[in-house]
Amino acid sequence: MRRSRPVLLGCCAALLGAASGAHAQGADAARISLLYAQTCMACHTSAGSGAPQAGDAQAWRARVEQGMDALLEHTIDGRGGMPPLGSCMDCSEADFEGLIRFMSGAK
Amino acid sequence: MKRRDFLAASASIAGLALSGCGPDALPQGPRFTRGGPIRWRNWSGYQHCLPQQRLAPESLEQLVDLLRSAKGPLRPVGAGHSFTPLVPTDGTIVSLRNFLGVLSHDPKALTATVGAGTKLGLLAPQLDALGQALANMPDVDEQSLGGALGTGTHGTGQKLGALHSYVEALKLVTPQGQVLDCSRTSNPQVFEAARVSLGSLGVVTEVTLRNVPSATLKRRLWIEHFDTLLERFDALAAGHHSFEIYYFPFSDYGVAIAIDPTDEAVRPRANEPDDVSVLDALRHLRDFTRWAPGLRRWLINRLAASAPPEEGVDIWYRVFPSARPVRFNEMEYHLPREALLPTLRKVRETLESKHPEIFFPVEVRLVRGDDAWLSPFQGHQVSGSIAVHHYHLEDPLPYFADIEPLFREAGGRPHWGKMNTLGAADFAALYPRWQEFLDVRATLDPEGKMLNPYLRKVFGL
Repeated sequence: MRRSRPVLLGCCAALLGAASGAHAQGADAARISLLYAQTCMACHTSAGSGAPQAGDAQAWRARVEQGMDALLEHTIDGRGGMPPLGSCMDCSEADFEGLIRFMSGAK
Repeated sequence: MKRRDFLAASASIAGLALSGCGPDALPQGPRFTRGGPIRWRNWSGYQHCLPQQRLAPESLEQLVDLLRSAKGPLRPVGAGHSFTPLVPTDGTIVSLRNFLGVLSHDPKALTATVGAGTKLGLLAPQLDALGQALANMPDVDEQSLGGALGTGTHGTGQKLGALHSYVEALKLVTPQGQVLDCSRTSNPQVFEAARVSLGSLGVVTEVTLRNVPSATLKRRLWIEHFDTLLERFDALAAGHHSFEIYYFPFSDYGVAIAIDPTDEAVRPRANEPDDVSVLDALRHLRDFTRWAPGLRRWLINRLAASAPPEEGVDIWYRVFPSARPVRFNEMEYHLPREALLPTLRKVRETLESKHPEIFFPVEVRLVRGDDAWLSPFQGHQVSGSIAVHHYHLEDPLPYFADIEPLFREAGGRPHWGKMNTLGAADFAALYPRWQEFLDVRATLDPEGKMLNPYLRKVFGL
C-alpha cells in the first residue's frame, strides 16, 4: 500500500487566485483558497458541469452584473445545477462572498 | 434533423405560449436575504432546516470531540442531493470537507483509501492519475463519497454494482467517540451495517474502494420507438457494459444510452446544456398543447423520429455523469429484475392516463445485487430500477402517490435518498437483515444522537 502524497488542491487554488486577481489577503486568502479547492473547484473547473468556470471573466460578467446580493442568494439557496450552499455546508456569508470574488474576479 | 434542431424547433413551437409554471406553495423554505440566517436545503429545495450549528471538523480528533459534545440531532451532510429528509435537524450538521482525497492506494490490488468527504467529481481524476477507475458511477458526480455510500447510490449496468458494493473497508466514528476500523474481518457486523447506513451509525471518515483499471469508454445515445426498445431491452442490457433507457412521456419514443470500453481515440461528446433545452422544450410543449393532447404526442413523435444518434469517446469519468441543470424531485424504486418491464408498462399507462403535467422522462436502470444489510439491491442477482421525476417548482406528491403503489406491488425497495412514504414496518418486511441493523445501531448510538425525526420514523423509534 502506497501512501499518496497529499493532494495539493490548494496549489491549484492559489494559482487561480493569482490569475484571477483575488482580493482576499493573508489568512482570509488561505481560507478562501482552501474552501474553493474543497467545495467549488470540482464543478467550476469542469466545463461539462455547466457552471461558470473559475477565472473566466466573460462567463461571469452577466452574473456579476446582477450584483453581489443576487449572487449570494443563488449560491446559498442554489440555482440550476448549483447546489445550495455551493456544497460548503459550514461557510459564512463572508466566505461565500469571498469565494464568488475569488472565482469571478469581481471587485 | 439534428438534436439541436429538434430542440430549436420544439422551443420555437413552445415559445408561442410561454406561460410557464410559477412556484407553487411547496416547502421550499424562506429564501436567503443578506445578513439573514443561512439555512441548509437540499438540491431540489424541498428539504430544508435551520440547524443551530454547521460544523466542519479539521481532524479525526476534532470529529471525535464533536460527536461526543455537539447538540443533536447530529447529521452528517454531503452534497445535499438526497430528496428524503435525511439531513434536516435543528441541532448540528457536520460537513466532511476536510476529509478529502486519496489517502493511500495499492496499485496491485487496485484499491484506494479515500476521504469520505471527497466529491465523486474530484475523486475520479485523482483515481485516474493512479491508473484506477471507479467500476461504475452515478449519473451525477456532485455527491460526496460518504453521502453516496450512505444512501445506496448507484449507476447502471447489470454486471455493475452500486458504489457500496466496492467498499473493502471503512473507518467509522461512533456517536460515543469510538473510532472503528471495519471490514469483512474487522468489526464485520458493523461493516455490513455501515456500508449503507443513512448516516445513522456515526460518521464514516474514510473508505477503501476496490477499483478497476482506468479505461476509455464509448457512449452511444439514440432515440428509438419505445415498444421496440422494450422488446430489445433484455438483449441490449446483456450486450452492453452499462445500459439505461428513458421514456419520453406522451410520446411513442424512448432514449437508450449504452456505454462500453473501447480502444477508439478520444472524441468528447458535446457539452450538454442541451438537457436544459430538452426539458424546457418538453415543458413548454406540455403547456402549449394543453388544449389538444394529441398534438403533444404528434409533435414529440415527429421531432424524436428525426433525431440522429450521438456518440462520444472519453476517459471513464467524463462518460458516466451528466450535468443536471434543471431541478426536480425524484422517486426511485429498485425492483426484482423480472418485475422491471411489466412495472414500467404500468407506470407508462398510469402516467399517460392521469398525469398530463409530467414532462420529465422516466429513467430505467439495472444494478447488480449485493449483500450489504440495507442495500436496496440486497438478495437480488440484478435489480431493475425505475425513477420518476417531477419539476422542482411543481407539487410532486400526486404523481408519486399514483406511481408508488405500482412499485410496491412489484416488491420494490425505495432508493434511500429518493422520496417515498414507507415506514419502519414496511422496511422490516423488505429487508431480511433489518433487525440486525437495528441492533447494531442501538449498540453504537444508544441515545439516538444521530436520529432526526425522519430517521426515527424509518427505524420505528
